[in-house]
Amino acid sequence: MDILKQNFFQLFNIEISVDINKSDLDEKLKILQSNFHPDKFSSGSDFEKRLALQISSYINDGYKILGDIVLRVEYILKINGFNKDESKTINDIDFLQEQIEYNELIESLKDNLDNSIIEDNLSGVKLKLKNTINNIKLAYQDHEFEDMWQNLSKLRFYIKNINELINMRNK
Amino acid sequence: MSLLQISDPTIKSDDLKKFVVGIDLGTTNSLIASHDPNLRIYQDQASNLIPSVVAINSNDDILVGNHACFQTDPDTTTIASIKRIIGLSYEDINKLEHKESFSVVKAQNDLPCISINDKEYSAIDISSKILSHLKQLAESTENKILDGAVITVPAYFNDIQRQATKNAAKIAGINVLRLLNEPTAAALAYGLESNETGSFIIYDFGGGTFDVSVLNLDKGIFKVLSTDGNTRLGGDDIDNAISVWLTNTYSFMQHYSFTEIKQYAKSIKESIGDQESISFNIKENSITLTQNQFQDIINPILNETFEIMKNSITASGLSSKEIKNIILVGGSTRINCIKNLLEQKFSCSVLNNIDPEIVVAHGAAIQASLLSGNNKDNILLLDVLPLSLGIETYGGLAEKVILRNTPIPIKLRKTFTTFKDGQSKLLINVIQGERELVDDCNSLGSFVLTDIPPMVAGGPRIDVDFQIDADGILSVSATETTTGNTSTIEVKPSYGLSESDITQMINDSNKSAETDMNLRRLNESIVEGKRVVYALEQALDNDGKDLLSNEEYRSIIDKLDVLKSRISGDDSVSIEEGIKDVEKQSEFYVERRMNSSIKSLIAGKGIDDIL
Repeated sequence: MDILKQNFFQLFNIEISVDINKSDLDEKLKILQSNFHPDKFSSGSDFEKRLALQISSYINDGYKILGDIVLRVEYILKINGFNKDESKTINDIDFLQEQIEYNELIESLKDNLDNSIIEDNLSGVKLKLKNTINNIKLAYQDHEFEDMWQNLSKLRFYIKNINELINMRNK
Repeated sequence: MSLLQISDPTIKSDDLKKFVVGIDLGTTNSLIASHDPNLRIYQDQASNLIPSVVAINSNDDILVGNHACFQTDPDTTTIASIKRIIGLSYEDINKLEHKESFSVVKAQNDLPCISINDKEYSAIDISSKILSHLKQLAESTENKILDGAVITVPAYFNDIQRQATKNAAKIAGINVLRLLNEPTAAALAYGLESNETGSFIIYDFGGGTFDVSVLNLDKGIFKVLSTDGNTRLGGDDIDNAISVWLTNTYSFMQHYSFTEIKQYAKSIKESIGDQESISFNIKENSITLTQNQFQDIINPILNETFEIMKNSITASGLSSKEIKNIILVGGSTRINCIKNLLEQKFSCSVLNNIDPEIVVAHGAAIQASLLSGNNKDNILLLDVLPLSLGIETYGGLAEKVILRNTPIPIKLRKTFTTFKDGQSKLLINVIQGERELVDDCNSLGSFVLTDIPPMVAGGPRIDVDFQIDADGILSVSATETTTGNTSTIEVKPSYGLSESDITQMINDSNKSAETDMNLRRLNESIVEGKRVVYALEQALDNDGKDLLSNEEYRSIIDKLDVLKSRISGDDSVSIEEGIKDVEKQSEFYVERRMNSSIKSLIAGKGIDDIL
């Protein structure tokens, strides 16, 4: 089935890029599902129903991956044939130091929830996230996939931090 | 065959129209309705609401609905609120509070059953009695045979509860077009009636379950953003809470049975409205309850619903400013203070101008009409998975495979390997729920992968596909990729009915009316045959010459001619075979049509150009 062989960017007719226009993606999802959702084939043959289920699932999978920055960057690496051995460690000493400091911060906040410290750190992490995304974009322009992969770990880390800090603030 | 759905769906002929309904199978009451194109609710003794009550007397005669409620025979067992225990394990049922009305025993397959006159009835059996009563009601009113139904379920129902509901319908002889989430059904009816667009919340507080869904409605597409709920929280719990208060406050209540006390509790709930207080007499004793006391009693329950609602809003990614309206659905939202409390807590406008008790059945009836092709409006419901799906990993931990609120249908692949040399089997426990420990989640079933080729540990690669369909129901398949062998999967439901149990039960229930069945089958096959011919001819007219070579075109026409001649005969088996042949012969054409449609669809167009 040709549709299922397309990559998700082709499926949604979106240029491969680190950034994505969320409302464009939403719009495309609606167009695609309006035509391939199983409900549109409920009086169809078993074969049609099976195809519709496959295609509709594939569209939803694509929507999920393209709509999430981490999954999207992983996917860009994948369609560019970049496979990194996950067991390889990252030898960025500064980043390791940053992780240790962050864990210490979280431990201290657990004992003493201080909203102003949380806010300060939150805006700090947000800035780092922005820079990391920029670095990933630059790396992709030059097809520096190794560099993209290194930054991906930071991306995951900062997003996790932001969620953690927001949860603490809401307590 | 719905080939034409891609192009221009215009079946004009009236004999192709199907008789389809929406069924709201509720904890306390059920409804059955059709939408063609006006809403028609099938009444039982002049009432829209049909009590979900089944009574079985000493002769094993079965009464359903109002007849069951008002029977007075002391030797009759009455079963209410069966929805509370459908799809639950024996252990789960025993953990329920106020389970007095169910004296449940364990039957074969570990399926919990209620024993009446030495006969065992599972929750699926009882539900199928209710469904079959509803079906008869609609069929006798229209004097037509039912072609299919959309049945609503709480959005927060898990896979086992959904399967059980679907099986109950199958046993009742109902062709299930779709299981539809109750809040989504309500949104459909509300959205189409009001012509509103934007984001809104459905607060669905029924007799036994609470659901909340955040949806976005735009150009006929209803997209569920998040859903949450509690399948053991409803008006029943409010009645129970008031019953407890009555028992604790008035010592004379000890002389009454739990069922009697609950009846008083229920009437307090229904009659207090916004009065300052309510007083009445039970024999020589008088009872008084103020509005404040009433709210104190029900507040813990309402607060739980508000907490769930907050979580659902967070999960939707919207801020409360972006939400236009909160729409009240379900009989329990008739309690006056709910509207005020929601307005205070969420600073949103709360709408209660739709009838909260019929809106779910209304939406289900619309969806049935859409799915059957009777209604050609361009409307689509995009729903989500309510509870995360995972597998058991080492140490009894749950590893999530598909996260909740993921749009469905969805397929996810997980790769497994062996950990011993020559290992030929692998056991996978599939679970559903949000908690980290397997014991705190629901086990959907164990899947045994067999016939794994003997290799060193870690050698085989077994791809297991978890497919969730539009009903939110899971199926699993597996392939061993290093050798290309397809491993077989044995699905062992944790508890419940196997495929063969269901077939047996359907056969049993149909035995009596064999000649009717044959006639019905012939009619169905003729209608279906006509639909296939019509759809395919439309499609061929449209693009057959472009997408097919002369030879291919001819090969389809040949099969089509055979089918046409068979339709005028009276042999349902040969018509069904003819349909199969046509469908088989046109599979590549179907595939080509889908592939070609996607190219024209997406090329730089906005949704306004398409719809």
